[in-house]
Amino acid sequence: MGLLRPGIPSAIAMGGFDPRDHFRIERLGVLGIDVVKAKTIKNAVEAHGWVGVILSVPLFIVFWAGALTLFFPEVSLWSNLPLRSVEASVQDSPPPSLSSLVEAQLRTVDADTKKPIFLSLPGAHSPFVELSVPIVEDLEEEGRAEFLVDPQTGETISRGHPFELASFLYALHYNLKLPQGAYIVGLITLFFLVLLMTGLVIQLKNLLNHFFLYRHDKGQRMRAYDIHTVAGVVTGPFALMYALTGLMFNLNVLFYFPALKVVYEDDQVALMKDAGFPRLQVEPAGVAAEMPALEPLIARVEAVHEAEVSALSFMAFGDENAVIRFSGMKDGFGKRLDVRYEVASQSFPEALNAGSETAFSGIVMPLFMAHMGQFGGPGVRFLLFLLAWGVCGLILAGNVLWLVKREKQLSSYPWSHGLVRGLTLGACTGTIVATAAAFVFERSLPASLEGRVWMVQFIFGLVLLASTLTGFAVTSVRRFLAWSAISTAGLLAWVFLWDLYVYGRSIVVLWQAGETASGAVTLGLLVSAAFFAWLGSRILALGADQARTKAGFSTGATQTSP
Amino acid sequence: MGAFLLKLMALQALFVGCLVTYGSSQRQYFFVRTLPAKLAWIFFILATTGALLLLLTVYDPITAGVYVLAAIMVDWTFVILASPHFSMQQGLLACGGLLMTLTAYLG
Repeated sequence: MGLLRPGIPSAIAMGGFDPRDHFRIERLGVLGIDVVKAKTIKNAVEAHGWVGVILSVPLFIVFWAGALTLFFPEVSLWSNLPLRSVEASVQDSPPPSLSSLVEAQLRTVDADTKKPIFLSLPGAHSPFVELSVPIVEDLEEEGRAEFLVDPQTGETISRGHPFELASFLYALHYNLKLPQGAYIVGLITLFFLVLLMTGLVIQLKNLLNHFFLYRHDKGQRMRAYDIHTVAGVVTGPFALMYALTGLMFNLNVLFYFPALKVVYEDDQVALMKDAGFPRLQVEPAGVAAEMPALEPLIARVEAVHEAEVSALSFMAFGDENAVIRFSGMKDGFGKRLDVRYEVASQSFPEALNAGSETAFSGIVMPLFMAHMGQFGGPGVRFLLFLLAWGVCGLILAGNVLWLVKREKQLSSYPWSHGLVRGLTLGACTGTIVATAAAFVFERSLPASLEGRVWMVQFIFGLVLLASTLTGFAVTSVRRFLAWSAISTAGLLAWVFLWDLYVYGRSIVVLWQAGETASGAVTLGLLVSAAFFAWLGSRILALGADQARTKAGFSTGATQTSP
Repeated sequence: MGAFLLKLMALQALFVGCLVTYGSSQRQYFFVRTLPAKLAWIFFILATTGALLLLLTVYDPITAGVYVLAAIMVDWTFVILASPHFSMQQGLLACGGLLMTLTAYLG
């Protein structure tokens, strides 16, 4: 280890690098290099700064929630822990058949079998069979009854989903929980692409020279600038992939409606069929028919298609014309399974199964899988998660940079300065603290509490608002960031301790039975708490170091002056 | 050889490859002296190729390629931003190694 540096010398001192070169774009013209080029870069800097600061909060929420959504199955399993019976999970009693389980639930409601009934099999995201049944002339629960059923006993665990944190975070990712939010996120993604392009224009000249540059000891502005640049340049390919795929998913309206109106003359069924997502219309005959045993059919589909079936949907359940659809993933990158079974003919007829694999769906599905990190296992998702955190750090550093850069200009307008600070830094860091608070309430509110899903979301919004207002009022950005990190650490540590105290035994038993997801989330919360505690204390320490340095300089100047 | 060991070797090779390229920069904080740039980048290319070949025995080509790219981005971001904050540079090695081991363990 004699090769390694024991301390932290200054790279600037070795390289003779002027840290202010980046901000002296005007100098290029004076030096006679290329005035037009300098103006282009200057315009790109302005556009990048303003678009960035305006979009920072929704962009941060989209990336932050997206990072957590990469672990949707794990968070979902962790949330459902209070519903789990550890004893049931290790018993050897034969489980009831899936058909009988569906029929038992259908008897409890006035089901509208003209509409599809959805069934999710127990798997990576849930230990329960999840059933969604359309109800006749009932507008409650959006016209559907939701059931969580224990696959081992057939017992109804819950009517509805009491634990929706993972779904809430997913919704934040793709529509910010706003009306028409998907299109808003699409527009934000479009501007994110603009940010990436302008960022590239700004950095192009110094892309290689400054690739490894990070001046941690040159003040807040340089540090924020280098974090923003390093994270932006290094994670560029990742950010570009997410910008392009996100744009494709959320702004598909741009090509969907013109194609529907001009090419397909409003024939939505034909458009979806050509796209490789055929919609099946089944009219019940009104003649009752016995539904087949599902387990042998699932095994047959999995064997023939080398796939894993994760969901089923039933059209005209219990009718002579009934059709069962099997969905899931095939082996290989982004290959989906979509197979339909006709109950009357006891077969998978070609007429029902044609058109589910087209060139369009063959491209869309792999891109969707890449976007959601549904390939390669949890290790790949972990790497993508870290990269998404990197982009969040880049957005925060960009906000700090924008504020510090304009500190003097805005010093005469404290209200405006506070407003921008609150709406950027306050809301961005508030998203992190609010997520930690949502985890606390997801874990600690009783499962049977009416409206608990709404309460968890309300707490998220409340903490976000509180942080935004605090961001408006504070005077020190550094202390605000540090205490936000420390608050997050405290909340996450509290969840970890609660898990340990209340669900410790369940987690251990499930871990021993091979279900490691819940325990992994609990450990992840502990590691995140430690990380945020370290980050908070580090930011405070950096501030103290700089204050000491400043005090030293000013004392020295006073002493040496005549 | 188990999938875990193959992934572990691939990820550690990528981490060392990224660390060495960082060490060839004038801005580095890790080594006492800057490493020769050509040698460092040749080592990086060899490490990346080796890691890709190892991962190809576990994953399909697209997954292996994305895995390598993602690991390189994480390693470089981590090394550049963390290195100046370690008073003992062995800590950076330990943390980076641990991060890559955890990634390999997760699957």
